[in-house]
Amino acid sequence: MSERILGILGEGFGKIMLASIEVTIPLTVLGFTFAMIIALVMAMVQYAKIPILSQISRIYIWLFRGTPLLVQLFLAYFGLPKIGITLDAFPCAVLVFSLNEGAYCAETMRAALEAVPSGQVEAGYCSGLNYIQIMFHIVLPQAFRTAFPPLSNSVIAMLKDTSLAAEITVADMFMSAQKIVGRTYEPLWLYSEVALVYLMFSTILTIIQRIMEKRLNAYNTKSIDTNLTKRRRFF
Amino acid sequence: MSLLELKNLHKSFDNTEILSGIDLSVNKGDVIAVLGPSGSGKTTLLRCLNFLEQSDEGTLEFEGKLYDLKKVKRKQISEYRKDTAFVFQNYNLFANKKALDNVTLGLSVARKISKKEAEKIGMEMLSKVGMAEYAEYYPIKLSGGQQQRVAIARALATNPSVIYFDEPTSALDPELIGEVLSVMKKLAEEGMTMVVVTHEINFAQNVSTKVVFMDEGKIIEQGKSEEFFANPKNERTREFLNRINKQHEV
Repeated sequence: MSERILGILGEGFGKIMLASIEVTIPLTVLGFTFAMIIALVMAMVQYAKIPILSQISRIYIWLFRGTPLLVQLFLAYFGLPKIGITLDAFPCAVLVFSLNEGAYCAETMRAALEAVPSGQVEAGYCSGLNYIQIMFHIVLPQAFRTAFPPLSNSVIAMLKDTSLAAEITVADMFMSAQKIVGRTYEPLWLYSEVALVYLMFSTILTIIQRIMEKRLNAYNTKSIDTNLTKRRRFF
Repeated sequence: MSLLELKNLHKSFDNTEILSGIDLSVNKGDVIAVLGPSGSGKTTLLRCLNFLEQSDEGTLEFEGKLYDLKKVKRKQISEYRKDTAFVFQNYNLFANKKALDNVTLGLSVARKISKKEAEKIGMEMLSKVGMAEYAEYYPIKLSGGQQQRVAIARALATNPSVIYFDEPTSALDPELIGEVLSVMKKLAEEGMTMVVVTHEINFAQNVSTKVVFMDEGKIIEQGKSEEFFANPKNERTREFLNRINKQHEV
């Protein structure tokens, strides 16, 4: 490896990390937070079978899950100004990622809510609890546990998908790599470098997922089984 | 004086009538065993009694209050449920709560009793069913019989006027049935009012004060336990009892 490449990689790493702090991480955190809020509302509306709102929620999921993310980004950033709605690139990206990811997470949450045995809801009513108390104390905690692995999947997928925001001029990690490639003509090195940074962040998320899952597992692991699961972890 | 007076309960599912005109009277301290072949509507009756199913017709008088079962309001239902409790066939313990929290949830959350007081009551109830040492266990770590005993403690905690039991031992391994039945027997001896849908003939014979026999959505025969078993009047009742006795011989 020549000194020149090392220099480029060093510069690249600094710029990519800066872009991650300024853009990629905030975009992922904001996008996923809003996505979860949307998902929770959409899933609970469907779980409670509230008329009209349930249908609206189905249509929303159908639209945002049925069209490509990149097309949604272009439509929001380049298309909407034609009807007088102009958004800055970053808020525009946050909006599109929230809505897109919200549609997927809504389905995850709905499935997780429905997986809580209905008998526990009945038992809640019989103990004198009302609907909101049952949701808060019994259904949602269990649904979150069920939804946690697929939601972790979603947040990792979203972290990587933020690279698409570069296409609507958001100066994220990928774009800062592209810029240096444009100047130095070293696509192999720089794209490998940015890929590794994405991999690093995904790995951190995976580790967090594993720690959280262990904590959340308290009530659905049998203590007797711990040895068995430990042994099976080998593959 | 009667605690509960049910009149003319009707219930259909998809145009099939499951219950066709049930009248039932429960006095304080009664332990009523509801017997009958499967599909006779026993469980539906119990579920209608606690508004887990909406009835099509009928009235219910409970502790001096009259409920029109067809158009009972949510507020009335929750008021009624604060004085009743239900024990399910498959326990339905809250999986994310430890045994003690299962028992105290109805106190601390639904009735706003302080956590300390609720836990005191909770431990008392767990001791009563012999589960005090498992207070910190999650349901999944308990056997079926242990889970059902926690469920009974949960039912007792709110000091209900009546407890409905829906086949409380039907999901249990044979060797675990005894521990649940003996808890129920203890409650009966303490004067708890209970309505028990069951297949346990021994429980009906030895513990219950009254027996109600159902078939095809109707109450065919009812009476004091001793009389019911000694001298069943209805033909179908006799057939049912004969069948069960034969099973016991096998």
